Amino acid sequence: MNDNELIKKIAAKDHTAFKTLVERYQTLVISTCYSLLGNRQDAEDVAQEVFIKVYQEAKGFRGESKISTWLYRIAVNLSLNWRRKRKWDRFLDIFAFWKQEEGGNAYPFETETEDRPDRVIESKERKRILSLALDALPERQRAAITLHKYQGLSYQEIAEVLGTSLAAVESLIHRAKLNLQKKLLPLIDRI
Amino acid sequence: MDCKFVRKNLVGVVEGQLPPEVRKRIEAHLQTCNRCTDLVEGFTQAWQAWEEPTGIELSPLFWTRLEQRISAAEGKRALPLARDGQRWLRPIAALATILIGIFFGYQLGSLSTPRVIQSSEQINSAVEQFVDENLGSLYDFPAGSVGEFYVSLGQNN
Repeated sequence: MNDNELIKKIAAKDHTAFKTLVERYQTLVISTCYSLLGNRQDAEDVAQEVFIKVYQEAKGFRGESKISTWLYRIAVNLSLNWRRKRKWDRFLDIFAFWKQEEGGNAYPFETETEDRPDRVIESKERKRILSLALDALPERQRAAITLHKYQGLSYQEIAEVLGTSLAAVESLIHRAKLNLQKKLLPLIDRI
Repeated sequence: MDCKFVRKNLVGVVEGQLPPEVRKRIEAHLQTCNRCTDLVEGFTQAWQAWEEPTGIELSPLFWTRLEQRISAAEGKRALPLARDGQRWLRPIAALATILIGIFFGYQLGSLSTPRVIQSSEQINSAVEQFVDENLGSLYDFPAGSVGEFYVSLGQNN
């Protein structure tokens, strides 16, 4: 069954078709959410929201773009909303000072690398450093470069997902790389 | 000077997207500067994280949880009238409260509104009205002085 047929059946609330779609695209959706959120549990929660939205809005899907583009768009939007909400929650946590004792290290890689005898950065640490630098990027830059680098989307596909022009995506990714360079330097210097 | 130049072009160095003359200039500098060599090495390693798989494992309960949430959402939709009712109940209650407040406020305000007197005729009629309403019983007093009136009261007792 092709994607368009699936969507038609999902619009008619066919659970079997919906399950097929979820199985087909759950890796794509979860990995997109994960690359934007950096946390597995959050990524799964947001991925669930993505599929619920697909189930509820399948009727409105006009088939003008690929289903994967539609899924990427919903995943990116919901992940960015989730991040904004989390930021607000963290801001509110400032006032709940008693919660600070429970908090983790803001730079978890610091303690692990303190006594490193060599300068070879482990894979886990590399990801953590990159994730910290990505965290500091403006959200559209982060979304664009993440879709390009992690998901392997072309600039044209990213433009469709973000609802913008090709030139805007080129500019977003260029600025994202320059910003990443700036953010990564102090992190690498510490190692 | 070239250290700054290297730091500005790290992404280009790592992605191999520099023009040949810039690349040559950086390579020449790296042969003489250990600090920049270390920096390029560290940056290259950090940049490699893009290539590594995220390694995220799918939860076996993903579909089960999703199905439960869909069913719950559909259950909520089964009573659209009740849901719509709830949606309209709050604004209607708020509007009713405001209207009741305005009504009582108006009533209270009209009770305490002072009468505005603007001419001497109005003053005279107001005084007459006051006397009629509050001092009318004085006209019932017997003729003569107030002293005689009190004396007659004592005699009656």
